[in-house]
Amino acid sequence: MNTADTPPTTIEIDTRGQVCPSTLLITLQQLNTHKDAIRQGQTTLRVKTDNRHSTVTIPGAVKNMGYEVIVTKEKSYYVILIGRHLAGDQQP
Amino acid sequence: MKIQELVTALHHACQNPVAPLPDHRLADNELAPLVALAVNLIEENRALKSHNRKAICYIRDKINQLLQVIGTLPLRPEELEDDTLLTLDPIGVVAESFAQILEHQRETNKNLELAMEEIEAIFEAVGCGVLVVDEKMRVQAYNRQVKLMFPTFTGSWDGIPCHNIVCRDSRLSQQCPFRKVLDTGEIVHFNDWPVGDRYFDIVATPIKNRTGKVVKGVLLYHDTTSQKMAASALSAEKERLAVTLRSIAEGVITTDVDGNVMLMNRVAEELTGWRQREACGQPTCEVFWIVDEKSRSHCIKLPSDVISSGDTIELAGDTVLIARDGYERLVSITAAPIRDHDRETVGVVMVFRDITEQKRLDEEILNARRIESLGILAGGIAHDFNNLLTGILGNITLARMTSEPSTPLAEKLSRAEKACLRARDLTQQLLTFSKGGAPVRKTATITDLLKETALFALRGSNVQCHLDISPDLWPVEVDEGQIAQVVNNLVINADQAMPDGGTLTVGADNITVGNRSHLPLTAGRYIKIAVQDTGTGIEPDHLDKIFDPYFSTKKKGSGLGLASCFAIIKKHDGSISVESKPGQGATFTFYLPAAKSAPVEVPSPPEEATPPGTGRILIMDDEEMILELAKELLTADGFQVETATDGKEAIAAYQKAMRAGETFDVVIMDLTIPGGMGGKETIQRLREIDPGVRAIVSSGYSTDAAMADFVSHGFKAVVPKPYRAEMLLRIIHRVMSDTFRN
Repeated sequence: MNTADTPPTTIEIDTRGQVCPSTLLITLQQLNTHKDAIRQGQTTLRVKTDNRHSTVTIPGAVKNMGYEVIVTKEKSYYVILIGRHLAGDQQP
Repeated sequence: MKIQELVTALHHACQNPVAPLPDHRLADNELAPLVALAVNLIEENRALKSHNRKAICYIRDKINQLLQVIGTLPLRPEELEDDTLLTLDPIGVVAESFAQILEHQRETNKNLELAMEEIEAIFEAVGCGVLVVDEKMRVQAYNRQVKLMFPTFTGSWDGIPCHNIVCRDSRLSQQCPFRKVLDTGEIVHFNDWPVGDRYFDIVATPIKNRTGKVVKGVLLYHDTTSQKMAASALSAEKERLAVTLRSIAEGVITTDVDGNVMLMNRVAEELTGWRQREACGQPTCEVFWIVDEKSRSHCIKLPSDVISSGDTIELAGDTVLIARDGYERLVSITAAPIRDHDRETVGVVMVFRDITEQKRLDEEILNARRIESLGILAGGIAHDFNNLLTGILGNITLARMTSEPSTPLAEKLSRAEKACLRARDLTQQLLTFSKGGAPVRKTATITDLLKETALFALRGSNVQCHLDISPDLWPVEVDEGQIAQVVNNLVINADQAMPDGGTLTVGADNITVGNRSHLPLTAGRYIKIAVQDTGTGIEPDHLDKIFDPYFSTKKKGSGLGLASCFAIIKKHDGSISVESKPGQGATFTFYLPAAKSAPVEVPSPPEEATPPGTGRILIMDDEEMILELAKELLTADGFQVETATDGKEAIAAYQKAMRAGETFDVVIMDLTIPGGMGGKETIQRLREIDPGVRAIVSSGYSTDAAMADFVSHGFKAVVPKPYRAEMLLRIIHRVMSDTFRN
């Protein structure tokens, strides 16, 4: 667990091999843990998943919580980026 | 049961929840309590496991419910083992997430509230009236502005059909903007929508549901009444300005600061020959070509002069405007800067008028004054001049009397005499334009006058003269000198119109003018004299100006000839007119009223046959020469002659003669005696002394009515100076004849 004083810029979670809703629960658990840093825009959550359904359920859930989401596709998995003010910071 | 068997059975019962439990009674007595305890524990364990399974099922069930709320799939049992599930604490995770969702929801709601407040503020603050209606046109929302715009409907507007509030006119509401929005589903704009005595711009915007059906409309009302009033006032003002510009007699051209034409009115178009649409944007000098009348060197660039001086410039009358077709006009121009509100010069306005005619009139007036002063001068010397002419004429007559008739000497004397008479006529012409100059009329047949004057004027000309005078021409009551002057002028003009020769016809005929005649004459008997030439004719443009004083087409013409003809004929109650076509000659026609009586003058006997005079004659004149001449002439004719130099002397001589019983048969008196008693006063006194006095008045020149109306002043006859001896004698004989005896 990271200290609250110096949160990393990006927290990465690898959920590859897992399917929804456990990927969602894992993501939500991390989101809950780091919510202050993420809400303030200091930290971004980077979720790797190879479960296609997760690219729908995770963004749907976190948007309701007031986060921004960007989903990108890598070669063999998806990256779901969650945070605040993402558009200005991240490459599409 | 052995211990080993018991342990196996108990173990089996632990693993298998449905396996039968060993009976403690079958155990040895010593083991029986332990078996019973173990069975109890197993039973308890079985109950706990069952309860645990139910709890996990319940947790999974609830987690699935929560996940469904979040929007994901239910958990599959194989995906997460019960132990992992419990480690992950999904309810905690989801609960925490829900907390975040709620927090986000709260934030969103707060933001929404703020947005609502903002919208509410905008709704009220917007300068327009806003009305929101549902698809049945019932008011859903409205702002304060719209309520102020349509104050007639009091109370709450909610749910009220909008046409009850706004239009209040069934005909208007048929064309309702929102109806159109409902029909088209599109935003609709209406300009100047009349409601009552006000006008509105209306924007109606549809609000659609997800299926695209219009469920509401937002109507935006902007009161344009004052704008429309201002616009119509502005347009009225513009129209007034345009009408004013069109109506004024001056030309108006405005330019921008670079001197390019911006606007010109109708008069400016006429004077320059440019139409506004062609001239717009052109440099001023292209359109408004003005030069100094004398130097004519370059176009005067008025706009740049005005802008550099910053002041009004006036060009009073030495400026010539050259129109597009080359026509030149004298103009007076005022050019002034056009300034905006900040006193910045934004252009130049030039106002100009054609003063060609005015300048001509000014010159005419100047000319008239010059002529008038000439006339006054002529009037001043006429008396002396005519006295001198009388002396010359009289002496010529005396010379002729002593010369043999039909000799070269007699011929030369005769020519000299005629020249003297022409000199007299010339003086007369000048006198026409001095004040007075009333014709000294007498009844005469002017046949001879016409012949003589025409032939005299054509002497030395290559023009043939043809006379067509009615043999029984009625006599007229005229001043023969003046009529001769008219004929002379007409004949000279005709002669000049035929530089290469031609035919001049002088016709004279009797004519009776009826009541319905187109001639400007009162009904009656007239003689009509026509002077017709075969010359160059007169331009139609000139025909109506030809009798105007000072109008002349001749380079050295005074413009007085025809004008004096007109004046003379008018004074004789006649009329004069002209007909001509260019290249086809001209005919001047004048009418003179026929005399009511036959000429008083009896046909004069041949000059040689004038009977010798017998009688006494008193002549009064301040001019020594006249006295001597008349004395010589009359004495030569057989009269006894006495002379007097003024009225007093004349009266004394007359009284003396009366006392001596030798009354004068005739008294000839000059009308004016400088510094002494003249003829008019003298005759009054003489009539008192001798009511039967026979007096003849004579004058070189006088504006006195006594010359024209001598009879009522007590004279028997008039003899204008200069006179020829024959005329004087004829008049004396006539006065002495019985006709004049009282």
